[in-house]
Amino acid sequence: MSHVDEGTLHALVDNALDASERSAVEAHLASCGECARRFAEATAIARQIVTLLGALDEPAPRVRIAPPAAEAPSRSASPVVVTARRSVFTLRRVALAASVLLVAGVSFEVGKRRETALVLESAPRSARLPGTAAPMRAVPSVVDAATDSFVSALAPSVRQRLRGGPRSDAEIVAAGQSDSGATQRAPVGFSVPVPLVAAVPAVAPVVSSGQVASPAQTVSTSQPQARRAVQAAAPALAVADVAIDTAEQRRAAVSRNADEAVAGATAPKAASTKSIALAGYSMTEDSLVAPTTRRRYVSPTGTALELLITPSVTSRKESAGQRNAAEFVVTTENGRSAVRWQARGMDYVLAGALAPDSLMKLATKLKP
Amino acid sequence: MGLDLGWLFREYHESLVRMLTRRTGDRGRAEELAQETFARAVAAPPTNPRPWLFAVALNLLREEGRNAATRERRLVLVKDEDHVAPYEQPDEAYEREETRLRVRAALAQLSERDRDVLLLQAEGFDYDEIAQATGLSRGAIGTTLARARKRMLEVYTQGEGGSHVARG
Repeated sequence: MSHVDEGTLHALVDNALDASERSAVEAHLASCGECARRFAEATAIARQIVTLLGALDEPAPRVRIAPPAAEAPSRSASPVVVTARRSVFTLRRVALAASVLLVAGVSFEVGKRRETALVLESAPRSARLPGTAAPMRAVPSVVDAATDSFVSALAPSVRQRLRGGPRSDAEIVAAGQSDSGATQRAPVGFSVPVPLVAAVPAVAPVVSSGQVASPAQTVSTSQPQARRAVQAAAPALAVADVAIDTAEQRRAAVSRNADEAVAGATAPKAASTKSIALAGYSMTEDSLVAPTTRRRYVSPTGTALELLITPSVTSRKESAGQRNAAEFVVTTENGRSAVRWQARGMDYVLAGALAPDSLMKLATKLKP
Repeated sequence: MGLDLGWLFREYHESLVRMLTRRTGDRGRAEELAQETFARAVAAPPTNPRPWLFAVALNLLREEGRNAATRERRLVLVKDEDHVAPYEQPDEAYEREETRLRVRAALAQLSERDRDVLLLQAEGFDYDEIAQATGLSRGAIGTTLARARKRMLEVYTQGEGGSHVARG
């Protein structure tokens, strides 16, 4: 038998040859190194194509209502709120999002022993806010059946705030923290248009990841109605506080906090700061998208780390002179770890594809 | 013969929408097309549902014709922002997005027939089914796949090299 043609090799890869063809081709491969090599290549190519095509699939289909988030045992009686930070977004995203970011922290309670948090995250695509300097709040609103159950689970006070206005899609993500401190997140499976409503002066209600929210920021839902909704896999929401920061506000926040910031190394102004040195790493980026300073470091072996510094909007154990009140909170997601801590009015997040321990060591060195 | 639409839907809807999403880069449009396809299945129940459904869907796509080309591009642009899962880290989101765009670009380099064959095979179609859905002869499928796969990987790999340079 002469060499096997490409089409036949691929048919063999796809198990599409009939028995006699197949045995003839296999006999040939056994004696022909050239064809055996081409067969191996065809196998590899076919596999790679499957992987590549998979990259076109959406990460989380929105139509389907996802099963409830994985069981996240509570560590304490108080709800653990894990929210998004503005720093979730890249510079690119920020630019695309017309410099308006929307971040919401929402908590809900399921049954007695399990608290977890819902996080609304969104970067509005089209909703360009009228150049308002006033802080904005947004609350979820009703559009379709999925949203209906979502809204019916809201506390009445929140429901009352529902109204029209410019809207933006917010994807709902359930998040909880397990005993090990690992943050688990899962898209709840649908998105809601969020009306952007000017209101309330801005103490941004965004809570740092891993922090325990103060009562003002979380209200547990106890209404049976809300419980039912939770059990129906629709999230019961207690309070939806959404902060919309315009670039101006964030800049203002930076200057407000700049005074409190540790001089030099941790000051949020990219232009004037000394770089925070990481032994063995070189800094590849130092940028400021107010209020977040973002630094990226790369080790000689190519490990990339990212350090985000943001003025705190809430503080833990805030008391004058208590320099080292901050604790480290380590989370691991998809092989990526993040260490968060707070110091002197600033939130720090160091993230990278390192083991939590290694990352923690680096963070300790960085900690002012 | 009665056709159990519920069964048909459960069995093939996900796969069909995935294939159409990969093909169009637009999940919303993919779902519309799938919807229309299943509607036609009710009107004229097919005997061999899987190839039939996918063939109808691909025909609908073609019928939309050139007018849709502009729309598709625009939708892709809008849609691209959507694709970044909000809970991903910036790096991951960025990488993912880059890969996705490169894969789309590579797929776009294929002829329509090659692309369809590739996408159908990726949905688990055997060569007979691919032949039924595309009208190609069964004997041509292996050759078509060999060409499509090589070409796609080639274009994708070029994109990879180029983009690394561009990113520094």
